[in-house]
Amino acid sequence: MIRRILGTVSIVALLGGCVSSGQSAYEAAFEKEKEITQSHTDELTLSTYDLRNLKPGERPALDTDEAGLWYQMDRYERMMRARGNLIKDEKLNKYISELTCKLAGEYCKDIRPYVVRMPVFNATMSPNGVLQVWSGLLLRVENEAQLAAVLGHEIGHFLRRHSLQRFRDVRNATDALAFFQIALAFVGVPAVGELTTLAVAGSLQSFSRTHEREADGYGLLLMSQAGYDPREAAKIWKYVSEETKADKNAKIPSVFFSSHPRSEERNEVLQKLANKIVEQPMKMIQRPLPQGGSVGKDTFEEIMVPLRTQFLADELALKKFDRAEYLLSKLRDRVENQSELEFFQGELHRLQMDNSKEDLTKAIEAYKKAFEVAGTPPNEIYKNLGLVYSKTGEKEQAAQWLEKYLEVDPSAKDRKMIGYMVKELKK
Amino acid sequence: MRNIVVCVGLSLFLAGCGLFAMPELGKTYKANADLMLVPQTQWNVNKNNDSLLWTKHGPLLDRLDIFAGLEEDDVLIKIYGKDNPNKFKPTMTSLEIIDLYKNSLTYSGGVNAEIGEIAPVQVAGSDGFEFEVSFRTADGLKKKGVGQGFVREEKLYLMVFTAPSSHYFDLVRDDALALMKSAHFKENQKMAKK
Repeated sequence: MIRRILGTVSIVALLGGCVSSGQSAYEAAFEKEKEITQSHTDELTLSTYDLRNLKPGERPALDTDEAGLWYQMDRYERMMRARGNLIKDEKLNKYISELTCKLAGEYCKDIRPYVVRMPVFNATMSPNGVLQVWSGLLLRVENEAQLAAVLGHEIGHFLRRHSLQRFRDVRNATDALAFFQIALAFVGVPAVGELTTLAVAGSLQSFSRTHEREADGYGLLLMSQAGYDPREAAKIWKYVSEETKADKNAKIPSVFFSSHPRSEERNEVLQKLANKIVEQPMKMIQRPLPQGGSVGKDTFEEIMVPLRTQFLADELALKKFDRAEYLLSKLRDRVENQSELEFFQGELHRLQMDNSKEDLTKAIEAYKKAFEVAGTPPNEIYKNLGLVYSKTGEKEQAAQWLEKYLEVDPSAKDRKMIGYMVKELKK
Repeated sequence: MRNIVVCVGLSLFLAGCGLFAMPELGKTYKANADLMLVPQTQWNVNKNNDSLLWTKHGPLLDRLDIFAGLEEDDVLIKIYGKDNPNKFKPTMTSLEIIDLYKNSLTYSGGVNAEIGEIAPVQVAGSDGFEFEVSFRTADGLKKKGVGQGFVREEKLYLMVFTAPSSHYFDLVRDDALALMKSAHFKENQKMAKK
């Protein structure tokens, strides 16, 4: 019996025992950069992987599993183009494309960035070079340097062919799982099947975390080489960690099953590495970094100003109010149009499910503040003030604000309904 | 023989024959919560747990969804394993109900949903609203829609017709509006007979 248990434990340990300590994976990008700089070859490999980087413009050979993966992703790219949630704003797309090229260098033509209207903090990279930047990410990063860190991270996934690596990991792990389950059933330990499955799932996620750490390292490397301040990268993960803490309904994922390292870990390690780069740029990135790098706040802000209203409206439609409130509090520190932020603060209270007296009062306070602070609120503020007053029973006020809305936006698509509401309120 | 019967049954089931019925023209058809409808043109109807689905050419080409008698905290769309935060509240204004529909559409995979003209209308004897909507499906198909709704005794009644914007929307729109116009309540029908 003891022999069986020991056997079981050792198999589970073998399958699940590859949890990386983390730090070395972050630094892998810099090690590889040194090797490339010293020997001028792209055939070098990292100790953790057998895969070399693709050459610029290279497509995988047709008879490989990687070609199959690319074929699937090419199909997905065509579907994605048809979906209609791509943001067509010319300035934004040009900006993202140019920034991607600046970071990707000779791989510029291999990577095709798309900006997707999706109110979630995320960016993704497909093995064929499709880079998706989600609007929720643009809403949260503070400047160009932070955006460069995320884009650099995704380019890192592409360069290191992480999707292919993961595809093969999953295939090998599931093959191994099937093998072990059959083998264990033969020797009479069927109950261990579930444990083995858990171990395999955990080990896959551990591989994934290693990829993320390595990609973080690439993000830092590429952004610094492009002249950005690497200390900005860690701030993103500090933000993510704080926004998650602010969310009372957030589920904290198990470290064992999490596909990404903890935000706290990323913040800490990236901060240390960034300081090293700023102190010794020639050693770390093989080029100087004047004044510790640029941040690019103004250019980024100029692009974001006309888009922020829509992005914030999408964010509130998710009804994750704790997160939205935290986001608004951070935007207040850096956004000029404070009036717009107060409008959305009012929206945050108006859209609460219970519409308690307290929420309605807070909504009115925030909407009114929007007229006192710098900037201009969206026209909807007049309508929404009217709607909130109609709920508090203050009919006269409600009618006045709704009439004001019709005055500032006489061609509004809901003008007939609003006109009808005004009449009803005045009865 | 048994195999043939099983095969035929399975074929009919897969072809959807078991799922839809064809209501008789001019006959009153009961939706949920005593809401009655009288089709004047040929439709196919499928009753789910929470809503009624009417279609002329199949639900992928045109569909009229009828949500009748939704109570506080009910949702328009349920997805297994996902919590839909877009819940109905009896205190909602007409504009908030339309937003509820729009957000539910996005929640269920619709893309870039936009609300068009909104106007007050009488629906099933109640003060209600009519609205236009446009969106794309998850795979990019452009759709248009028109809907009518109202709140009665703290319950939501919403009827929304949607179809691909090329061809099917214009083809079926008037029949869908006619079916919405036929909506009435059981007691109103009795009163009308008296």
